[in-house]
Amino acid sequence: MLEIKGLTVDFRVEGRMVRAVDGVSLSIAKGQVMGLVGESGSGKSQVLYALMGLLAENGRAGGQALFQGQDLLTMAPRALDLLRGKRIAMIFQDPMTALNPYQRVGDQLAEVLFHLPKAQAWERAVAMLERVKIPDAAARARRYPHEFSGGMRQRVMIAMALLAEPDLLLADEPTTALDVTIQAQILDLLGELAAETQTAILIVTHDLGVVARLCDRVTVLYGGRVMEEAGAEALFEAPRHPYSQGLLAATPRMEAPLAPRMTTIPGTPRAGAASLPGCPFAPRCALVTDRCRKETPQLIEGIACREVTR
Amino acid sequence: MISFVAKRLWSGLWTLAALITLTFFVMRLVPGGPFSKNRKISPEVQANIEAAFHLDEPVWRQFLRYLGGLVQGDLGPSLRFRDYSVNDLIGSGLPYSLTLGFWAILVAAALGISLGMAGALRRNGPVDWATGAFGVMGIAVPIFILGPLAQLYFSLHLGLLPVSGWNDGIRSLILPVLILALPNVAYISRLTRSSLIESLREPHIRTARAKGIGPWRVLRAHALNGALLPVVAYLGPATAGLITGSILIETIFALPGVGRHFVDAALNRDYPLVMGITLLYGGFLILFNILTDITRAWMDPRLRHG
Amino acid sequence: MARSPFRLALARFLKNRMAVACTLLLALIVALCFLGPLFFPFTGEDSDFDNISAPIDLFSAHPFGTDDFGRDLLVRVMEGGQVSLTIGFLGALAAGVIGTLYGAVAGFAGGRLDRLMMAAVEVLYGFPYVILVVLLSMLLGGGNIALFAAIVFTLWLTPATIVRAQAQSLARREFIEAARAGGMTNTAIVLQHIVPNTMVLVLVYGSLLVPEVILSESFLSFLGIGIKEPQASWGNLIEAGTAQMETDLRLLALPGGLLALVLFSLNFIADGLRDAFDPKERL
Repeated sequence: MLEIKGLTVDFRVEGRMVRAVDGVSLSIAKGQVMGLVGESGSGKSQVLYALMGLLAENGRAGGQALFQGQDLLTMAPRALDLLRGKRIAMIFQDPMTALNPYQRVGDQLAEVLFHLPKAQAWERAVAMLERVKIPDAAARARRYPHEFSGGMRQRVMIAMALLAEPDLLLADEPTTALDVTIQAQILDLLGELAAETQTAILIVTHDLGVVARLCDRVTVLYGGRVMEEAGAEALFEAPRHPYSQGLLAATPRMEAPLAPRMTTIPGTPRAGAASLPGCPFAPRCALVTDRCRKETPQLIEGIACREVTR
Repeated sequence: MISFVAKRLWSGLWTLAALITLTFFVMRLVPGGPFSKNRKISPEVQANIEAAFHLDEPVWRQFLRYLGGLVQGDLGPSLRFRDYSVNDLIGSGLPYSLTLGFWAILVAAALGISLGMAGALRRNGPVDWATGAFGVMGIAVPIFILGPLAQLYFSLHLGLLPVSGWNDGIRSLILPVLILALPNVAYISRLTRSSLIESLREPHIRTARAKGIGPWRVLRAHALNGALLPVVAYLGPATAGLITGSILIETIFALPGVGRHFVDAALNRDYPLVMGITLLYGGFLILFNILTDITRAWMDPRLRHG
Repeated sequence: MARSPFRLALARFLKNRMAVACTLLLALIVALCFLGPLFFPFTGEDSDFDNISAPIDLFSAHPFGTDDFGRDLLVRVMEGGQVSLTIGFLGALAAGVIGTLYGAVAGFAGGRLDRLMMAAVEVLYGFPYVILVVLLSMLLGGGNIALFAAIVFTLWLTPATIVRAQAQSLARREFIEAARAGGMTNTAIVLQHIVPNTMVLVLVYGSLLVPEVILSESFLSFLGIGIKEPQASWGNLIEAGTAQMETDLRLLALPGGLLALVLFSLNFIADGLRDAFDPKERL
């Protein structure tokens, strides 16, 4: 249903083009949940913005992103507007700033269905608020965002995204800004509703816990490039790429409460790594060779590392 | 919202009361009385005049007398224009001053907001550039230079518009209104431009664009409200500037408004007239500040409880 | 190498070409007004009865001519500039200092004192500006000092509210708590911690006050309430110029042009200062 081929995102910074995302390819089938995992600065959110045509003014996307056969990247803005909000919806990272502070919550929801009569759109908005378990939804729809808690606002965002029953939902770190206790509730709600409506999800996160809870498949991003692509269970059981291994080792696990020590990956991601040749992970990799620094490894059978597939 | 309005009106009333009291006593502290300057009159005549205007009473009693009149809407007699009451003088000038002020603020808001929006939406385009240059001029050239130059060029050289006075209907209004509005056009367009650019960058705009509602609806329904909040907030202080400006404009263009009387009244110690005009202007200013606050609260729900 | 925030700001300011050019222009005008009259053997109040209403003649004793009292126009404009610029800078300084102290005390004290002090500001804001100036300069007996005091008294309100907001947020910060725990008195905390931390704000807004004060002075002098003949100020020179603009535009153009240049450059200097000290991106 969604097929991304060789997606690139460049930003013009002080007259130079800096590559943030380099040749990302992935595909999602109907009803599937794909996790896009990586550290901050790995370009993962920019992938979503590129798909939605929401890149910052100085950004430009290249490659192909076929949604039900249409290329999202070359589409006219008007044609894209026919898909956005209806067939493809998005949930943003920070529910505190992603809602319009000057408008009633119900109006903001109903606006998604602006082609319907106002009363009918409002009715469906309230029904959707009930489905995301907002108590006393009819009254709360008349309230403004600042009168909601963070968790409640993210429920509102989810309701807004699912209101038009989209085929694809893009979620940009939907739980990062929330309390840990709220995070699980929101994720479960998201999974539940998506399953009901057969909506496919592309969820961006740096939190492997989120992946474990929600995703069918995972794409691991580093320095704007895909390192590994695998089924969620397979990745957790046997991560293949050195970066994936490091990522998993650095995540605390419930099953092993007395695990010796949490490990960390030495070093920090290099800035603008996607602009340079070589494997972006090379400076931090234990298996690094001279070739890794010079030649960019290709993604073959779900992994971009010669040292592992050799 | 209703309690917000009530609270705001109540505090406005107190400000007005403080304004009245302060002006009254400051006026009485000013050295020199209305009849002590440049006139050789006998002490008896002076005493008689002062008695007639109750200037011989203790100050606090004069104050109470003034408040008594005020409650009945009587601002007292003018000391300088003997045959007129302050109500007469203000009443005759007010329609002209109001017309001038009304059109000036309307032109300033409409022109300033549209130029600022055009600049923000087509950044570095020709409109943006011209507005910027125009804005710098509006700030650098004060209206008491611009006014006379406009008279010289448009009226005396080209003969397009009347030089001064209020005898040619709308044609005599064009220059005064435009010149009075100009500094505010400059400021409002700058303010609108920068706040719209900022507003378009807010995260909730991205949410709105993600709904697929089209760029115009994003602008109208989501960006404009936030962008205009600082502009509305400025309209309160702008009124104060407009009052100052209208005194100048009425002087330069010899318009029969209220402002023309003020300087004269102040220099001649015409207590009741100065008081009356202060009250009028102060009342307007307070009223506009309240209206500004109410409009902002109406536009921004977060302000309603503060 | 660690650089102090002030030097960083200075470096940013120096990169702003418009602001630097305007600073130089302003310095040039200030030098002209204060040093220029030294090169003439007469003052702006001396009449040269042999040259009444002399036209512009750059190689005569009166390069820009004389007015109809035979007074040298250039010298009068320079002397008027001394008055306007002095009032502008001293006035902004005084208003800034008063406003800072008032706002710092109100914001730091909080509670009832803060409410009372801010209510007073609110009332003064309710006064139409001109009226307050006129009343005050009458109360103080007229004259230049009274005019100066009146202008300052009406312009300290805005710095006070700005500084108060800043002081309020500072008062909640840890280092104030630490100072208090260390036994500092409230007066010492206000003077040594609150006031210095609001200095940048005051500098930026103070630079906006200078043109405002100059404008006030010239506007009052234009109306005949401010600086009075025979002493020159840009305001009363412009007023005299408008009376004769039909026959002789130069009497309006010279003082008016200089005033506009000063306001123009102060505007860009203030912009430059704001951008330099507040690097949050502005457009």
